[in-house]
Amino acid sequence: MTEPSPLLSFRNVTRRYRQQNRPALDGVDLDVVEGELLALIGESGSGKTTLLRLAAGLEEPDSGKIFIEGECVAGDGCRGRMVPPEKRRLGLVFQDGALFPHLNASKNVAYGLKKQDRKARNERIAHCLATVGLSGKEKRFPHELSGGERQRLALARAVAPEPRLLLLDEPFSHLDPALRRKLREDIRDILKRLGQTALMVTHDPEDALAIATRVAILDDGKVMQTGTPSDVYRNPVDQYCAERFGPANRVIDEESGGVVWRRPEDARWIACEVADEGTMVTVEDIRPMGHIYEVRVAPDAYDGEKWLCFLKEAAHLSPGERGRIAWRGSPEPVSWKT
Amino acid sequence: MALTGTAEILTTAAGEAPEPGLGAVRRWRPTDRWGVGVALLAGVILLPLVAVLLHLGRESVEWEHLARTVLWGYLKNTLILVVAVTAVVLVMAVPPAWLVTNYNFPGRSIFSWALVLPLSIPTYVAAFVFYQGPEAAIPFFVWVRQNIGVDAFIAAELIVRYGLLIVMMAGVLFPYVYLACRAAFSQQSRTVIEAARCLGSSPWRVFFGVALPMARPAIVAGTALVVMEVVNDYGAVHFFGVPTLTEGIFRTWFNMGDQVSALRLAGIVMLAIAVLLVVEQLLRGRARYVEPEASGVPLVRTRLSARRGLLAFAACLVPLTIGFLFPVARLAVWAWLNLTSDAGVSFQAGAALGRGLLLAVATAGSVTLAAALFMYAVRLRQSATRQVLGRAAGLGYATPGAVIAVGVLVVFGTFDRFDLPRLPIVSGTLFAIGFAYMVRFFAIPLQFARAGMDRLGKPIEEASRILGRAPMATFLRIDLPLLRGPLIAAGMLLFVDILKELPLTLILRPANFETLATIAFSLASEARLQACAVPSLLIVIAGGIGLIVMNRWIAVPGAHD
Amino acid sequence: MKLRTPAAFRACAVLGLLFTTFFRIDAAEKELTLYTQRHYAFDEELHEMFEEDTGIEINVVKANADELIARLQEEGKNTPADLFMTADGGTLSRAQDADLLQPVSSREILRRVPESLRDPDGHWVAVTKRVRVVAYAKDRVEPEELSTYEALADPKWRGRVLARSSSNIYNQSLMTTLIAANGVEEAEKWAAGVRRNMARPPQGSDRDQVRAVAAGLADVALVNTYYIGLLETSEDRKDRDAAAAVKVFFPNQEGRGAHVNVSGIGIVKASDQPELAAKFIEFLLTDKVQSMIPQATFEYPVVESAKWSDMQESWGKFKADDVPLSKLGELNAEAVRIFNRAGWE
Repeated sequence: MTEPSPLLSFRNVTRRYRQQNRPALDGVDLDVVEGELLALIGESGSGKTTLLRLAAGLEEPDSGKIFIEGECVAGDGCRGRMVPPEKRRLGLVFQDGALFPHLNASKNVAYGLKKQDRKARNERIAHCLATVGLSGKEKRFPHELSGGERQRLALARAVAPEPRLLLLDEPFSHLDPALRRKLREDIRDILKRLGQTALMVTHDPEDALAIATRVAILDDGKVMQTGTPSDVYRNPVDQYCAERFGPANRVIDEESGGVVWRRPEDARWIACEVADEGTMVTVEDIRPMGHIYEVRVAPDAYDGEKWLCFLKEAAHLSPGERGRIAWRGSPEPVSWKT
Repeated sequence: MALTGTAEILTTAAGEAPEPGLGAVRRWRPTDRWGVGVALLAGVILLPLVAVLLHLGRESVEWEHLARTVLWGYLKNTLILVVAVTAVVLVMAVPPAWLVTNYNFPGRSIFSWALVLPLSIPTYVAAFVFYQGPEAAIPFFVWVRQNIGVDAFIAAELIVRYGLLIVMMAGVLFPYVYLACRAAFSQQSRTVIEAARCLGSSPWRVFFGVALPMARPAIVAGTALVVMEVVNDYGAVHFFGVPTLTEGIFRTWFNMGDQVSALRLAGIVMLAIAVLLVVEQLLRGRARYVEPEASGVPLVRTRLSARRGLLAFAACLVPLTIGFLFPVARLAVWAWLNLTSDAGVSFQAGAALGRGLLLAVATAGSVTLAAALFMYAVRLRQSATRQVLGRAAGLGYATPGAVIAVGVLVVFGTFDRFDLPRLPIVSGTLFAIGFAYMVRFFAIPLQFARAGMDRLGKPIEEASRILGRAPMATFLRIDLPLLRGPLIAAGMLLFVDILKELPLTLILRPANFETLATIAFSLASEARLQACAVPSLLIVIAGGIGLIVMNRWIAVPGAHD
Repeated sequence: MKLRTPAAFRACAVLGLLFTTFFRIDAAEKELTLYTQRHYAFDEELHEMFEEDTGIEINVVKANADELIARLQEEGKNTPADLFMTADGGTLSRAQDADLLQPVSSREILRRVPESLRDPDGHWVAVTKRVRVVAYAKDRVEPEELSTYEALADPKWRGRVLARSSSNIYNQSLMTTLIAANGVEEAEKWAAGVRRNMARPPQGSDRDQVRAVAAGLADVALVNTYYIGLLETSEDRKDRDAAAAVKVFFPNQEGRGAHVNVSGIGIVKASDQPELAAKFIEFLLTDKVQSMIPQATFEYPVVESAKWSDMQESWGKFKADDVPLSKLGELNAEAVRIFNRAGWE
């Protein structure tokens, strides 16, 4: 079976801004394949928004090529002729929605629709608004909608023309945490129902892990790691990738001798005398956090490094106690597309 | 927001780096139609200025002579006027702007818009009204000469004349600074002001320590316009016998026939303005004055006590009286005398009003649209060339009207000489005048469009593109409707400026074409003040209406707020 | 590769062309276009009279003479102008030097205008005469104190003289006659002397000088005679009082005579209807029109047979400086330089 040709590919794409020494994107290779929701995660300044804008055609790469469905849309391959954003048939949901303030909800949705007969058009608008749960608010203007509604309207507007690929630029960043969680789930469901391929940029690891089928980590204009959410979470390739998703402990793999990164919650406490697996450690500090205990241990032979472990049962431990820490393995990746 | 930045046009033209965010060197794309459009339009607008500069071919015969004799006098007068008028303008404009934005006092809501009105009075009209001053003071001068001596008399005459000229110019020009300041003050973040109050500052300290420094870019931008108007003024200074550089340009060009020296003088004018602005930029250093996001806290005006309210009332009434009420009252009396006396002339004022209005409206409308489209095209791609062209297209504003007129003549003359079949000759048509107005005033709508598009922000534009609309469709369906407010305001200001414009119109107009300004000028040069008052008053009325409309659209910035 | 401009740019271009055609004033059969510096309401009456008499319509462009010359030069052979009229002889001879005028062929015209008041080849002819004189305060100056232009530089007039700006062509042409008569050096000394004697820096119009003398600011002023006439018939009472307070003195009557300038007209070289244009000039030189001029604008007629106004009669006959008017054009730039050096603003 041959691999399906990717919907969007970046090939060795570099983009630099004049005021900055380092390029915003530095030789990036990346593919987005049909049906996935790829989350692009990185700190601010890592180049993730630049990548999105290059995909959309809002900026041009300095070198490298960008393909959409196998067609070169920007870069060296198209002899300087970039396919402009309006010809790319992509959708984009902006950070702040970027709704047209002078158009009401249904006109905002209608804006991107091709010329077609009125009935089909109205049906499409109604359908899109219903999908995002805005039925009955067709005549509202953007400023008459709540923050979450605005963002859902932006989504409806972006998916209405049935784009090949939907781009989401930090779509939840302007929302408060509760709303954020709710909208995240909503969007995940909507995209799943539509079978919409999407590329989402975010700096929030929760966003990425909660709804993406695949995650790419960007640092300093380079793609550091791609993989399923659980894969990148459990098996980060370096400290930067590891720390995107919270605390991680540097562990030297006994079989290969290489460095791996382990999550605190994957730690298992093994009483010294019971087994021979794991690493000998000394407990330094224990803090009860309610449902778990935060335990700091100093592993032998790690030259002063500390590990952070989340243990369910640690009431019996006390500083200075000796024991072993072993690590659970990572489960297989899952995809929603079955 | 409105006027902030015409100054920038010059700053950049004087060699400052264009906006940041530019990519690496861009390839020239032969098929980039918008780029071609920008280049073409900017080229067409700059053509008259370039044409004038190309006339620099000859040896400058008189330069040494000028430098030895009159140059210093021109410079001195220009400098005195610029400094003094600016100082008086600041006193007239800044306090009222602060008061009407932040306090409640009797007449506040009327002053808020009425203080814009002096802009409708052309300086040459104000000049012949105010010239009555030195004339009325003659008995006093005579008394001084008889009782104190000739030298005291000469000094008194000088002081009275310069003083009146300065006050008069400040009176009709201060609204530029007032408008810019009012916009700046009302957009200033409430929270910053409140923070200052909470830190224990008195209202005075808030004003001088926080609000005023934060409004500095606006003040500078407004002042730059005032300076350009003062430096480019021709009628008023001539009338008051205070020859400035502009008078020197005319004298050297037309009376001595030395274009080269005249253009050098024009160059000095433009350079001086540019240097001033660059120096101001440098003085600002790294300090930032703009609070990027104004908070949504609504503005609450403080009610002033009766005594302070009276002071505030006076602070607004005095400039309004000098710049508007007094000249208009004077004109009204003269016009009434003229229309009721048997010598009352019925001139083509009606027809002139109609034609002049038609020309002003048509030109203001099309130039504003062209400027909006041009600005849109400039912003479409981040390229250094486009940014520079975008700034350069506003250069006409710093150029004396007569210099532009001659440039337009040169361009169209050359054009006509090709004798293209079936092409109407364009010299001496209204098209030539309309075009010259565009060259002269392009900076105004350009600046409003720039500010409006800045406020609108890039994402809206990008959203439209992503949704499959080409740039032109985006411009028509998104930018144009959303920028309605600033564009109408720009159009109105343009309309008023065209209505008042004199030197361009005089030189370029077709046969039998009179505007209110040319009629007023004609009658004024016959010194028929009463008759002259009628067309002058019509200019003021039409312009005043335009300004009130403009003010409404500035007061409600952008339909989307 | 096809190069296309966006629709809106094209639309603008089309609109522009429409605009042009819409406003273009089409030339009918019998029409003359006059570029003139003169701003008198009376001139318009004359144009209407001419149209009634001949059916020829006069289209007018009014602007400063030098600006009109610039315009004629730039418009070249496509200029719509047939006639060029100024309020000063020097400007006309400068237009002639710039090759903008053609000689009139009409003998009638050449016959009616004295040779000193026209170009020898008839490139231009004078239509009115304007005399620059000294206006003095009746109650403070005796006519015996006055003699020549030159005498105004005498220190005894310190703080008592008024004159308008040297940007003004009347002062410039007076200066050219002083250069012609006394040489550059003397002329400069004179300008400096008069400037020192001025009661205030030069400002305002000739009319304002008369008003100021009447108000007592100074005792004498350099003005053209017709301004006094205009003041005397003004709508404004104050103006009439001012005119009554001064008298006219013709200087240099013992010597070369008072300085006379003209308002004149010439046929534009590029005009394709010089015969029609000549008709208008003939009209201006008829006894009828020439006799109307002194009544309306208080200028002097150029035709001997024309009648003066009562006011002019009351001032009496005077001796005129007969320096050729073409000198005025030649020496104009020099005159401005002298004013600059002498500090006469």
